[in-house]
Amino acid sequence: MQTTIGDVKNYLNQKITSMAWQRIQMRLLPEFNKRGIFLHAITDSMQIDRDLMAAINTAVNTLYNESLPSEFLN
Amino acid sequence: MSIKILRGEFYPDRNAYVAAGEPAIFHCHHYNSYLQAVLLDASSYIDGIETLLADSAQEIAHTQFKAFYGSNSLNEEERKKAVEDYFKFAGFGKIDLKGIDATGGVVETSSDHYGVAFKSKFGINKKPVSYFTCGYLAGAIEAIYDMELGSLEANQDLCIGKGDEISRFTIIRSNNRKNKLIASQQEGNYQLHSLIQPDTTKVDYTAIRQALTNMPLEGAENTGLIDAFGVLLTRHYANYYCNISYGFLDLFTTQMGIDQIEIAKELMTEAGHVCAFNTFGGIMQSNEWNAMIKPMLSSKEDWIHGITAVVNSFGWGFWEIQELTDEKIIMKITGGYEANAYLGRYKEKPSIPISFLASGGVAGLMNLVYVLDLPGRTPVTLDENLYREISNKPEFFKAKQLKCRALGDEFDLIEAVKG
Amino acid sequence: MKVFQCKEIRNCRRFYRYCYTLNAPIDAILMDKLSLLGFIEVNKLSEYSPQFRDTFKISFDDQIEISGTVSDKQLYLTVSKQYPELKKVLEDTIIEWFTSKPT
Repeated sequence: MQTTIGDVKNYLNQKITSMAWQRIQMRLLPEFNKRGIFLHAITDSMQIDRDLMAAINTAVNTLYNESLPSEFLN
Repeated sequence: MSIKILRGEFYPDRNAYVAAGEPAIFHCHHYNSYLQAVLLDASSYIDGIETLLADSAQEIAHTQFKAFYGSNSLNEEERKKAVEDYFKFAGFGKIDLKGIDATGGVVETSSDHYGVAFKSKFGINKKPVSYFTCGYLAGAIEAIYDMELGSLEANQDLCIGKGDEISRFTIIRSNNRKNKLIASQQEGNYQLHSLIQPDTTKVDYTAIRQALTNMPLEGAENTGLIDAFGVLLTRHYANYYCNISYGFLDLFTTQMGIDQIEIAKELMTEAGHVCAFNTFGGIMQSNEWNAMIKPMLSSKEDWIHGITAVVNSFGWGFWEIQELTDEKIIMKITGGYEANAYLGRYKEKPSIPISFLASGGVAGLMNLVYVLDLPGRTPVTLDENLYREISNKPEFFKAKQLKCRALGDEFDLIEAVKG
Repeated sequence: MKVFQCKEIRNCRRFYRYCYTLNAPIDAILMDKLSLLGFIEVNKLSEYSPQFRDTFKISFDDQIEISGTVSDKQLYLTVSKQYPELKKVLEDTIIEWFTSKPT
């Protein structure tokens, strides 16, 4: 089953920092937009494809020196 | 008689520090670096952010020093000294303009606030971070030689924030500048008011403001940095924060659409919250707090009054508590620097309320006292773990701006409510 | 009997910072003893209001800085990692002061 926005958001806010998800959104906004995910209409149930997940993981690594759990990336 | 160095004055009827027409406010390295970092988060897809960060400083430094030299007859060496001295006084670091002339030159420093701030907060950065210093140097040097704003530009190759031993800036003549620089709005649309002593507390607002505005908070002789209350403070330019924040919002909404503005607003408000957590938290655990404020405290509400009294000496305008319980605060802000600057520069009303720092700050002080329980736990180390701990609590306070001067209201009104 | 509680509040690259909570308020005798550890500066905040207390700072080069508020029970120590023994010197001074106080 594909990982959702809600899964990643909750993981980041619990394990990294409370505003991590917002910073990731800011960093990757065009990536979200080109998938039809616009911030004013975003919902937790939206699914994240593999390429977007990889981009999120890169951003997490750059900003926080951390990685997403392997179950999100597989 | 000519004044050789630039200092400025505190105006009690505006709750503002003004130096050669330019309002100065106290802010810490946490805010300075976090705000810049979140703006740069969008720089891979929004053009102009790095230029905005440098240009905003250039506009302000040029305007300020042009005004200062206009009122004081100084020769070239004296003008250079005034620029170096103010940079140090304000806590930006140490610079030496010996090798500078009207064509530019190179400036190196082993002490630069932004480089130190970024490295301390985020670790080693991949790119230089001192955009502010680039702009300050370009603008101030233009003023030294009576050049037009925008004649010079500065670039940074070495940066303490990158792990280099020094920060190095090269100033050159500007060719084919794409954007036109505009003089600073200086004092903007300020408001006159007076500091009111609330009758619900023994915390003496006037005495605290008097003591703090006379405290010698300035850059140390050897580093030009202000190490106080556990943070690195700067006597920064109110207009700098405002012009980079509102300039960013312009760029962002133009390129990404107005519908997605909420994320920018959240992150800029968060910068204010980060500032409050670290600076207010540091102040509440300082000797100055123990000396002046602790003797007057008899409840958690008094702690909120205490830090509000301190804020009234920061140059941020007049902060007055209208309502306060352990679940809610409503703060009225008259002459807030965010509104002053916005109204002084922009003709159109904003699409959203714009007092981001104030919003984050008001929520932050409630979180420190009621969620972290700093009164009961001090001394504590204010680190990322503690920040995460309180941010994830269900009772975490969040702010909302109820009234906004930039939108036509008489004053700003911020409410923070327990989650 | 414990004379003080000590908590490390900062661990930076070059120094430690500690907060001491003493079992008695800081007085002129303690300040006098501490002043042997460096150069003392007093900030007379009491001049602004009778409710304010004075603060002080005792420092020596980049090795040590002790600061506090007169009549308060909290004392801050910033000590260079190159001179960790100075922490014990401070603590011995505090103990000596406390134990020689009249009961």
